[in-house]
Amino acid sequence: MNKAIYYKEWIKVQLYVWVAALAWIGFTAFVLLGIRHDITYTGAEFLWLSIMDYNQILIAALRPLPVILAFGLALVQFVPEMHEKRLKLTLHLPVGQNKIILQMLSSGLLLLAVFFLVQIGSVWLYLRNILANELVQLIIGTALPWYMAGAMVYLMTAWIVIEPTWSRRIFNALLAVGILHLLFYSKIPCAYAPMTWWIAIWLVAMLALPLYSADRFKRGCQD
Amino acid sequence: MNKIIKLFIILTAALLLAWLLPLSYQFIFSKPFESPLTLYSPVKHDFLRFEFQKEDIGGYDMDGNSYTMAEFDSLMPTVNYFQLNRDGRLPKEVDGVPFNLKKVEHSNFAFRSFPRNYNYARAALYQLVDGATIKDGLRVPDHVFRMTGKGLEFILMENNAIDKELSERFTSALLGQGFVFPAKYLDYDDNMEKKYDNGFLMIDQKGGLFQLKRVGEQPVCRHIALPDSIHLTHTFVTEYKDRKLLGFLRDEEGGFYALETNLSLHKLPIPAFDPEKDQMIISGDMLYWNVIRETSKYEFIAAIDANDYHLVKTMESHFPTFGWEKTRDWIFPFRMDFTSGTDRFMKPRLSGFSWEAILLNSLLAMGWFFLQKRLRRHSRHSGSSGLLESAGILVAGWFLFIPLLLTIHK
Repeated sequence: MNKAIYYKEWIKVQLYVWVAALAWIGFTAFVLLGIRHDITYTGAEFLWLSIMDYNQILIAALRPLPVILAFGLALVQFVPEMHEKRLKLTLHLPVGQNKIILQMLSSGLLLLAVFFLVQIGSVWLYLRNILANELVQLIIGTALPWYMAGAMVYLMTAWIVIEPTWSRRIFNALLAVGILHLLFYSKIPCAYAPMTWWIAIWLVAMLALPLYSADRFKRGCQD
Repeated sequence: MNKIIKLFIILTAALLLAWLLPLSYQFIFSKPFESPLTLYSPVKHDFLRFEFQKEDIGGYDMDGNSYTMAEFDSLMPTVNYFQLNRDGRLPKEVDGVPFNLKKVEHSNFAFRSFPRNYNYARAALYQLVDGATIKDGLRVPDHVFRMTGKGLEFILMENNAIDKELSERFTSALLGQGFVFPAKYLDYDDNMEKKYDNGFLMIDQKGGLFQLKRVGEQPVCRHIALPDSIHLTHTFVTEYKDRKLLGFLRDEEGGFYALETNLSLHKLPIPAFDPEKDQMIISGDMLYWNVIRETSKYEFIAAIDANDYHLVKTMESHFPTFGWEKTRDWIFPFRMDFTSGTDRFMKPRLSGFSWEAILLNSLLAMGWFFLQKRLRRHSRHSGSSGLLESAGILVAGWFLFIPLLLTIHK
């Protein structure tokens, strides 16, 4: 049964994943090649000084990508489930309701984790050759909340899509926008460092949100 | 389980509203306020306020008397010397000191210390400029260094390689002067434009003060002896035109000192200063220094003699509380901020606790209670009595009322 659920999820998202992977690799390569271009034309010293003196994060162009990827993945995965209320069939399988939803979510989160690790891993591998460890840590530390925000967007999008009533969908969407606004409010390097653990706990707690919507969906809530 | 999840949703919404509602209110209703520039006049021997809005008035004295632009220029000759020179009205002497235009130009300086410049995440890498390479006032470092427990480690930025020879040379030079690694604190002037370089002022593990410069590939360092009673916490390197100062120092009791290039130390007669919490600006000229301490509520200025550093005069002024701020206290019981004027971090901070908002909160709480009562009467479900939620609204006001209302079970 578990394999069947994961396979079902893969069938839904595979085209999106392959297209997104091409775009993902392309953007990452573009940013890293841009850094190499800057070194060639202005010298490595100016790159170091732009980080140290002007707080430039060399990979700032990657900032919105985790959120865009996660949003698209959640739509592709859960909108078909809500079409003609097909999710009801899934929830009537002889497996716990929460377990099914968590398996669906875990397949999406796993895919996102692969994307995020590939990107941040490539960035780290490239930058550690041209920058001091302290600067690489600063850049990676700044990027970490972007990926956590991406995972949050995935869970919040699932929460909104599965929600059966439009009034609650709007409320959920407003809440999601507010959370995103908070997570992208500051562009200062490592500004979110004091909050990283809280964001992580918040992210784990958000796993419950799609479960709540699914329960409301199964009960046929109309409010 | 569903109740817990709903509570999580409500509390998340309340947290966001506690941040966004007061922020939106301030965005819509706040008006700009800038504390007027106030400096000590060496002619009037009192503080004067500058006026920049009115064309015919240059400023005011502390009694409220106004002065024309021309009169004000003459009262502040060390600030408005450029205009006085254009008008051919430079004084021959001020306060018994001959007024030399070049000396005035060279001795004017501004020192600024903001907590935000200390409270942020930064890479612990430092630029030691080769003083010989300062061309046309622009510094171009080729190395940066990191401070380790054993010494300085220089990194050539061009290829991210450790320059072992340079590292050993500079580490040995500091060890030779008695430096104990790692440094507790170090500072340098990170201006891209500079005429000369004073290098670094470092505090070693034993609290000793050292200056380190680089000339070519060679270190120039010295231990600066200080009285044993002074335990330093911060250094501030300065590179002003007149080259009178090496920098400022701060000790663990908040004492603030001027360190001259002849290594004489002078404690400034000002209140205790913590650069990580307090904002301070020093506007100085050849006659007087204006030490300005400012918060969002008040401003304190001390006029200090620039030659012997004795306290001449002080003044304190409190900023008015505006109507929109007073109204805000009636609407919001508290505020959630994620940013602060004293650091560059995002973290939750509660502030602006207000008793006045209890009145509005009580009305909202009562409204919620009666609404719940009415819904229970018309509903087949027993639902909650609304008492706990009303108690929450009494504390959190709008922040809890709005999400509860939007997620009410009809």
